[in-house]
Amino acid sequence: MLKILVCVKQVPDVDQMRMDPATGNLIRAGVPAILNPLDANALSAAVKVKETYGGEITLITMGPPAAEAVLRECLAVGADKAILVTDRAFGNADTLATSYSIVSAANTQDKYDLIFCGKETLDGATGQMGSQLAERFDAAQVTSASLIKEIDLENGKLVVERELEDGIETLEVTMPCLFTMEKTNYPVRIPSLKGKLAAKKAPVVTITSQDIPGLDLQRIGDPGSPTKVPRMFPPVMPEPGVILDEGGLDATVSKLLTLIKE
Amino acid sequence: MFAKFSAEMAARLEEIVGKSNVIQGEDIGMDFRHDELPYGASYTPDAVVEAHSTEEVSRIMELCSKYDLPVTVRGAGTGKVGGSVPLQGGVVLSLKGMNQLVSFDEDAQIITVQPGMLLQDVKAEAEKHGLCYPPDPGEKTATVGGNVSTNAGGPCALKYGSTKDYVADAVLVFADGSVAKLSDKEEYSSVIGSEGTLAVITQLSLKLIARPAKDVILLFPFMDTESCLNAAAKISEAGFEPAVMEYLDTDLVEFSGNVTGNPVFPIEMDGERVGATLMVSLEGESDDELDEKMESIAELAEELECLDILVVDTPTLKRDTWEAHDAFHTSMEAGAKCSDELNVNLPQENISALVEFAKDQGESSGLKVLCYAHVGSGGLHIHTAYDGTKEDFIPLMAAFAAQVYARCAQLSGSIVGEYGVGYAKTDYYKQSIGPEAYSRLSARKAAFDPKHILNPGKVVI
Repeated sequence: MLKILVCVKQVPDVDQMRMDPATGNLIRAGVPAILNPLDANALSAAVKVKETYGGEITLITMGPPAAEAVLRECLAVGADKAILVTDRAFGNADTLATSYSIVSAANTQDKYDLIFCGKETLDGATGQMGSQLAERFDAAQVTSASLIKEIDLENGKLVVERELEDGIETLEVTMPCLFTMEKTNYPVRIPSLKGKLAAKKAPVVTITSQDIPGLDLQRIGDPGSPTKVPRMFPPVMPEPGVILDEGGLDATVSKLLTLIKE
Repeated sequence: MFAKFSAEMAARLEEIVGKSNVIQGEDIGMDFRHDELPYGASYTPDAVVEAHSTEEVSRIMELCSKYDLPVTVRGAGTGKVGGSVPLQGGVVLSLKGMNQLVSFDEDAQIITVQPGMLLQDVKAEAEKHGLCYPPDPGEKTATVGGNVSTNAGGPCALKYGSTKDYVADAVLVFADGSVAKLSDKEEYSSVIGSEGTLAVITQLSLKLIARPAKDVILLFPFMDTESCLNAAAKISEAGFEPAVMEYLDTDLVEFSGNVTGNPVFPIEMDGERVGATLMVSLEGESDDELDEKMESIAELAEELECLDILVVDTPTLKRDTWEAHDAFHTSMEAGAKCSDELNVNLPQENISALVEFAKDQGESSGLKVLCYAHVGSGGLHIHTAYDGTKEDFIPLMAAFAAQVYARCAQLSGSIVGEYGVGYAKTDYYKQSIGPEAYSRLSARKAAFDPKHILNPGKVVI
């Protein structure tokens, strides 16, 4: 049976987030937390694989206890079980410490054939997590994956498409393999009412730093994070454009020339 | 007959609003010559006058009345039946600059605004105070004055009613320039929904309500339109009081989803094509209350004969769902070579029959027919798409409209719909309401505007 791991993250809904122009700090108060949008597409890809080839989907996230909400949201659309990695010791982690913590926690539960991640998160948008996880899982990695075309279960191989700027690249990869998924081909799934009600009762395994044998406490949380963010500032936004329509081509061109001269 | 516009008239208008607020000749932009009526002709006014106060509007109307000049009031020009188009030339009275918040009474839950304020700004202002302005026909860049002049409804009308239910009071300027309040006389209430033919609205006091604490959207896919609408009736009868119940034709959601790249609504379930989806929004004061309602609906599932029940309860999915819903109109324009829309109102139990009729007629005339409806309030949107030329499409569409409007009348429907009559539906309107009602409306028009200078050629001609 295919063992599938889907990595998800609870992020602030940036559409509702504002930045304090004086301090450059994000104003997080009152901003709801949501499932990282591209993680929802990655989950859709995993569910599609499960529907086609069978398997078991495990979710994993690291965050505060409230992050359980996104796990239940994902359980409702077809995941089977979930792992919540939560402990104050994991806090203030950069991607290096986070990937170490997640892989350490996941390995206490099972070995995985396929690992799905969103291409990047809405808040940090570093896009580093997938590659770091692949290294730590010792898995092949396919970044910007857009389609799982075929899986050869007998030989442990897959044919996968990547979406590149200048076209589509088709690759053959061996398991275990990690994908960072684009949203193409895998629209977000809406849970059924039945799935939603079942997800409320589904098991969520909580893992703290104490539950992981041999965990190096110097490699997690703040001590394990070489990345420091000294300052944040809002980007300078360009002036919005103007559409000219003076009622005819000549009048519009004339107006344009006047504006250019000014 | 109306007077010919003269330099003297222009000068007098300039005295009222200032020279820069009277636009004439080639300086009149294309936007002032049409609205969003598909394939509507272009009509050029003699002058566009930008007003900024009740006093200015009053003086303009007094002057135009004296000179027998037609006046067409215009907001954002988002109408779809030619209501703000100057058919007879004369003055386009633009109120788009009258877009200021006048006052906000939080205790009384009343917002007072100028009519040119956009619907999206009224909604945002209400939300700042934790309140809600429910009317929403979908086009949020319409002015609220325009919404009042057409008595706009929209999906929420099922639970919350239409725009007229939220007008606490208004300042009206009549054709002769006199000023009154909507609340002064009962008969003034007919100004709401009169499409600028009876008076000019220069200030609006709108009622706000407390925003529901929680909401969830449920999507019910069905094999066909009839079972979808039957289920809607059962949900209403069971007392769930949905805030929104939308019938969505799968052909429409598929077409729109392909154009927008936001395919939210189900197209297939277990390999079978879905015929229609019912989109239901439930509201409550707590998650527990909503959970209870959902569980009760789940018990009804077998009786409803739906293929599944999908739950849209996260901020992201809710936003995606409403964006997909609100994109139906624009995606038709973007995705079809030629497209148009008929909008009517009819009793819930007859929506299915008109949809079926429209689809059959469309098929026989080569038009793709895509529909959705606000179930309960009865607003049905019938979109058409055609891949041939505009020259072929226009007569096909005219014949299709005549057939659909006639059938709508037989099914006890109203062709006014949510967009109003404008000039696009005047003939059909006259036929559909009958001679007695029409002559009553004519008499009312004459009482309000004896010289027929306000928006001539619209609604009642």
